Amino acid sequence: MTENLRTTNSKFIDQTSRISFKFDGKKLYGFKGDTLASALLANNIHLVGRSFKYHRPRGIMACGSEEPNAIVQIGSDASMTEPNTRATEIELYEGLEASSQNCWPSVNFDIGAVNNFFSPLIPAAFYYKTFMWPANFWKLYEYFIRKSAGLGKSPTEPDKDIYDHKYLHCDVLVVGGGISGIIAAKTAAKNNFNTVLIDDKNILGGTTLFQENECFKINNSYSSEWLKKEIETLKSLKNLTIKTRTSLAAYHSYNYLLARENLTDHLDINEKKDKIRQRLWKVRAKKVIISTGAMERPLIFNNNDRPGIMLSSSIKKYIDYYGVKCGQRISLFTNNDFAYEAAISLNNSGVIVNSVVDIRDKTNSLIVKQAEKSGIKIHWKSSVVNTSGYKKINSIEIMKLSDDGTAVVGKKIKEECDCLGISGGWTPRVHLFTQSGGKLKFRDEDNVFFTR
Amino acid sequence: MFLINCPYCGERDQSEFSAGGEAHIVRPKQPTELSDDQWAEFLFMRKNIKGVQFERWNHAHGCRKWFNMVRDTSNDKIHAVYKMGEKPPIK
Amino acid sequence: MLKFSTPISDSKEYSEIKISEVEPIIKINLRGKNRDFITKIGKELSIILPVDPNTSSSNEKLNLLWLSPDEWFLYSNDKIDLKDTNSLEDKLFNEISKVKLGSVTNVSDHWIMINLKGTKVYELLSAGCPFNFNNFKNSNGAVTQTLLNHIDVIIHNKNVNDLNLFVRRSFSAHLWLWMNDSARFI
Repeated sequence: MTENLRTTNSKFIDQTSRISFKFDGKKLYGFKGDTLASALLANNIHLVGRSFKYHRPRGIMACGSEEPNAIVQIGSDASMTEPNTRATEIELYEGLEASSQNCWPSVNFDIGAVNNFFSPLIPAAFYYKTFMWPANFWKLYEYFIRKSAGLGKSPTEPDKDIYDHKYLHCDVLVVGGGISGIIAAKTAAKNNFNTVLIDDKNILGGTTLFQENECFKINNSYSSEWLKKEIETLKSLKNLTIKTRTSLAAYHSYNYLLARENLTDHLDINEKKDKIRQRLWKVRAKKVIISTGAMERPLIFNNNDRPGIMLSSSIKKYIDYYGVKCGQRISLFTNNDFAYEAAISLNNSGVIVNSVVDIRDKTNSLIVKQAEKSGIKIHWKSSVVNTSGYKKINSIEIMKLSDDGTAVVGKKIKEECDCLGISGGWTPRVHLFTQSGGKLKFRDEDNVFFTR
Repeated sequence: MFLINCPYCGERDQSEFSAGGEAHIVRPKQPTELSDDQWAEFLFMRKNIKGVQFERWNHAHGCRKWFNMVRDTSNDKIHAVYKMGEKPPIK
Repeated sequence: MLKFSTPISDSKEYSEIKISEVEPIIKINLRGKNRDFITKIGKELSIILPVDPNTSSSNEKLNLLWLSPDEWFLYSNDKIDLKDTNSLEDKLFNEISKVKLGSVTNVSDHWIMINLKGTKVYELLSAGCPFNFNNFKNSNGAVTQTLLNHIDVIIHNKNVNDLNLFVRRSFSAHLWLWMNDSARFI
C-alpha cells in the first residue's frame, strides 16, 4: 500500500534513506525529510485521533502549525513523553514513537465514541448539571470524569533534557522565511542592517519552494527555481543570520520577542544525547517584519470533519513537496482558484481527480483554464452537501446551488472518493501583529481581516 | 518588557530598572503641622491614572541614578525621560 | 589592613573561550562632583577621568571606569601586594577624602575580577545578559554595568575579545558556576 502512495519526483524527500518509526505500536516506514503526518499519509493512515467530547474520528487536515486535528503524543518514557504535539510539525527521525490521544482502547475502536450516539442527551453543560447530585457520589464520578478529561498524558517524571536561552539584538527581525520574508531579509541585509530571518520549518522557502506551475512564473522561470537562486544569494550575505526550526512565540512591547529554536528534536535518538534540545531566543529588534503569509480556510457543510477531508493547499504540499498522495481518487471543493492548483498538481502526479466542485458561476482565470484543458471535471455553481464514511471519507454528495445562491436545488450527485480537498480562501496570519497591539480591519474584496 | 532610555547610560532593558511610583509629589514643609489624614494623603494616596503619567524610575542595575519618565499607562508608550530636578518636557 | 580572600581562584578553558579569575588587584571606588575633584584625580593618577557615559581611560598600570556621572571605578592591571594597595589608597584618601573633594573607598575585597578571553565571549554573555553588545564589541575601553544571569556586573572591554568582568564577592562563586555551565554549550 505504501508504494503506490509515494511519487518518485520529490526533491525534498530523500527516498534512499528509510526511517522506521512507530505509531500506536505499529512499526511503519518513512523517509528522511518527512514529517510524521506525511509519513502516516504515505502509509495510508488518515485516522490519528478522536474529538474531545463525542470522540468522532479525526484525520490529518493540514500540513503545518495550523493543524487542528492531528494532535499526538510523542514518546512513551515517563520523563520525556510530550503530549499535544502536531504530527504535521514533527520531523521524522529513526526510533520516533507516537500515539493517538483521547481514545480508549484504541483509535480504531474507541469506547468513548458512544457519546456520539447519545449526543442529543448530552447538551452543553451536561457534566456540570448532572454530576452535582447526590453530593457524596462525586468521589465516584470524579474518577471517570478525570479519566475522560484532557487530551494527552503529561510526563510524570522530571525532564532530562537540557534547555538554553539567549538574548539577541538586531536591527531587523524578519519572521517567516517564505518568498516575502526572503526578499525582505535580503533587502534589509544589503542595506547594512544587522538582520535575522527566522522560520519554523527546516528549510526556507514557504510554499513557493514547490510552486512549479506555468501560471506562476517569475522572470520566465518557475517560481521555485527563481526562489532557490534567491535563497542561495541569501547565504552569502554578511549581515544576515538565518534561523530555521525557530518559531516565534510572543511579541511584547518595544519589539521584545520570544522565539523557540528546535535544535535536536529532528535528530535520531542516539544523536540527541548531551545536546541542548531547545533554545529560547529573547530578541530585541529595532524593526520587525512579519511575513507569516496566510493559511487556507475550510468550508462549511454537513460532516465536514471526517478523516480524509483536508485543505487543498495541504494536499498540494503533500504531493509536490513530500511526494505523498493523500488519496487515489480525490475530489475538491472550493470557492476560489487555489483548489485548481492542487487539482493540476495531483493530475500531473497521476492521481485521479474526480472533479472540482466550485460554488462560483464561472471564472476566466488562467489556472482554471489550465485545469479544464487537462481534462479535470468541474461542477460549477455547486456545493458539497454531505459526506459519508465513518473512519475515512468514502463519498460526497453534490447539489446545484439556486440562482441566488441561498439554497441547493436539483438532484443529488453522489461521487466516490477517498479524500476531499477543501478551499475556502485565505486568512492572513495576523496573530503576531495583533499580539503586538496592531488593529485589524475587514477587507471586503477578499473577505479577510487585514492590518489597518 | 520596555526598552528604557536612561538619561545617563542610554537604552537599556527594563530588567535593569526599578520603578519608583508617581513623580513630582511635594513633601509637606511642616509635617508636624499636618493632621493624620493629610499625612496619609501625602504618604499613600496616588492617582494611578489610565493615560499619561509622570513616574520616577531608578537605573538600579546600571548607574543607580534616579530619573523621571512620562509614560502612557494604557499602551506603555514612553513619551519622555528627564533627569531629577528638571521640568517635565511635556505637560 | 585588607584581607584578600577569593572564593574562586581558578581558570578554565573551553572552545574559543577562556575564563580566569585575576586577583588580588587593587580596586577603588571614587565619588565626586566638582571640577576640582576631576582635575585632582587626573593629576594624582595621571589618567584623565572619563566623563562620557560608558567609557574608560587607562594607562599602563591603572584603569578608570565611568560608572555614573559622579562615580568612577579604579582598578590596577597587575596583581599587587598589600603594601602598594595601601599606598595608593592612602595617597588618594589624603588628597581627596581629607580635603572633602569627594570620597575614596577601597573596594578591593568587595569586587572579584574575572577575565574573559576568546572569540566567543559575547556568546557567553548573551546567554544571560540583556545588554546589547553590538556596539560595545567594537569599541575598546567601553564600560557597562548590567545584569548577567540576574547578577550585577561591571564589564570593561579591555581589548578585542578580551573583557574584564567585576562581580560582587558574595555572588562570584555562583556566577562562576553559571559561567562554566553556560560555556560548555557555546
